[in-house]
Amino acid sequence: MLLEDVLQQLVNGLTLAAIYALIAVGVSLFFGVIGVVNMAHGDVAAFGAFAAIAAYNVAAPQLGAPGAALVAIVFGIAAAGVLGVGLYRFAFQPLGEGPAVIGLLAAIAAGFIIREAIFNFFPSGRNPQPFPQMVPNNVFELAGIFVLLKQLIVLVTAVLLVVMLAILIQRTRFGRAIRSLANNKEVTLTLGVPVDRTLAATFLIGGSLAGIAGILNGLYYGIVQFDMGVLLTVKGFVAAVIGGLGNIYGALIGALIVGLLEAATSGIIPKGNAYKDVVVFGALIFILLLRPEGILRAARGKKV
Amino acid sequence: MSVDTDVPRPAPLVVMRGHAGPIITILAVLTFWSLLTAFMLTRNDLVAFAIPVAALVAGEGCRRFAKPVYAGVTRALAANSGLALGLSILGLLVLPSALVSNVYWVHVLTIVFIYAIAAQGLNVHLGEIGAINVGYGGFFAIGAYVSAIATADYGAPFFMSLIYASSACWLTGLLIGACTIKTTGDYLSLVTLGFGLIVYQLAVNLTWLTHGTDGIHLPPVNILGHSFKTGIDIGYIHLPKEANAYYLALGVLGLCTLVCYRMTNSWIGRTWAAMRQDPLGAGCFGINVPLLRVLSFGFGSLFAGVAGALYANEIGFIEPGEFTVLLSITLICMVILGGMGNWWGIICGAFIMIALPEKLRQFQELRYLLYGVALLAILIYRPTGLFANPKRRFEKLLG
Repeated sequence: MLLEDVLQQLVNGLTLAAIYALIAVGVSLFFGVIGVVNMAHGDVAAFGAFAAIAAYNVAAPQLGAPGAALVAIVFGIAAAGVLGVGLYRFAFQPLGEGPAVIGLLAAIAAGFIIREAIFNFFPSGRNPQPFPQMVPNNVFELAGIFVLLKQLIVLVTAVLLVVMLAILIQRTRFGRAIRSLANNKEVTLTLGVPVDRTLAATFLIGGSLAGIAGILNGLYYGIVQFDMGVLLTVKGFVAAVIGGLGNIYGALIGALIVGLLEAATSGIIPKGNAYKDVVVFGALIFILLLRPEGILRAARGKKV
Repeated sequence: MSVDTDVPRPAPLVVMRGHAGPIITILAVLTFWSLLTAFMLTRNDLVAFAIPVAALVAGEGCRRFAKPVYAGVTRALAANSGLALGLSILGLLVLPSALVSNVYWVHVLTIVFIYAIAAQGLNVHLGEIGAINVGYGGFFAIGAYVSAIATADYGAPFFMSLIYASSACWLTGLLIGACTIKTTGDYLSLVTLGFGLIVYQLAVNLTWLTHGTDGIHLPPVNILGHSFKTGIDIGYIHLPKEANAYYLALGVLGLCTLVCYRMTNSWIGRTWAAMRQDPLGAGCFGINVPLLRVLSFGFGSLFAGVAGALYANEIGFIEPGEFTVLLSITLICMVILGGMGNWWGIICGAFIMIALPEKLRQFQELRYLLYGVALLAILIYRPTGLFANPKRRFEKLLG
């Protein structure tokens, strides 16, 4: 095995990690504020990608390719954000302070509905759809390693977004409200924070991030499928859990581990592509065995 | 466990004299069975679908607006539960002869029973020890594959393959339980989800063992020289060949339900309740929580092996595509829908999840969409399931 192979897989792994990170951050964010694992998050991403395709197909004849691409991206992100808020309003909010398993199942049901809606109502939605080529297929070569322009775009976008999110959460009034909510809902309410609006806004942000992840996923692979959300959810969930649910920095570390592991298994082990999910989940079980609350979850005393 | 002071007061007592209770019970059970048979035998799907909807509306209507009637019937059923149970079992035993004109439904009911067996096992995880298992389909798949490989490739008889399958699932359950001693709540749900996916991937990729996506054909079942390809002839009774598997599945379901019921009402069940509600407190009272958790996880998984083996032999052909996450979710829905910790509710849940969609076939494409909407609606309006266990009214479900 050559050093170039390893570096090449590193680049591929980082690209995967970037997409997973955008999903994982949302999963972690929602878990922090409402204590429910949103199993429909990947489906929101798929919805964003499909909305972008629809917008592109409508806008392309009038605006030409570059204009249509811009419209498609904006529309896809907006659609995913709105869907995120809808999810909160119609699936999570009506549940109230129910037990965790009910929230989990409601999310699964919501994901089901989104997936089947794409399957039934998108024109020939049951077949894989080609994602419009919005970026030229340029390839850079650097010391024997090939980096696609697409990969660079995915990486840079993801890093920028995550930094922006971190600033939003750490430095703004809204971010303080989110952190306070994650800590204690009742106290947050008594302090005069508009909890309901904050939650809706959190879902708007998380949904938009998922939409971006879906569009980047489409851009990178060039093809999208109605059930691509399932694997995105699962990978994002794994990343969030490895890092520690509720901690967005943990989600980044988790996404990095998942992306690199996946690239390493499929690129370096012969016939490894078929076993990449097995390896990822094996690693998950192993990490949870050592640290049951994820890597970045501080060991806290149990409330009695 | 705290006692709430705002407990709804019991409905006004309806005084029943003489034989009123048993008669009401018999009438109620008879109505239920005739509705059920009508539902299965009706060829018109819309009419068939109107039956459960009307029953549900009538039940809810009585509960809301005609409280004495509702209270009277439920009281009569509760007081004569033995009679109701006996009549129901009798109904299940004679049902195949009522369905001779529509043999397909005997097969559907067999599948319902098989899923109900798995749901009873899942209830041990989900409802009794409070482990959110989203990968129960993985155990089901292991059971089905072990049984299929044993019978098709190694020529094992059916009952031996049943034992192999349940032991394999029991051991896997112990292993998973041991790996997740410290993992609880949402973390456990992810680990089990991953387990289900791993089993699916292995079933696809380990072609030398599972024949991959080509699947495995199973030889017909033969018990004590009686082949399941021939019908049942006892005296004047002639039943179609589908009835063989029906009675087998019914018998196994009865046995499994009895085992689960007895476990829940033994000291082990009390320990489960203590562990589920407060693991730390249970530990303080001298319960070995980790050990019991692992053992119970294995115990719950065992039923998936039984169900998987029965399923593989009933269908006669298995391939990995049947054991996706969807299977696990369907099983969870049965338990939640029926009501956690309620053994007969779970069987009803299995019937609703398997038999109702059969009548939705004309909405083939939209079926899963409706499925999702219905599930979400039930979770929002009736989070404790259709038949909640009354003993758990004070309990926070999980977590």
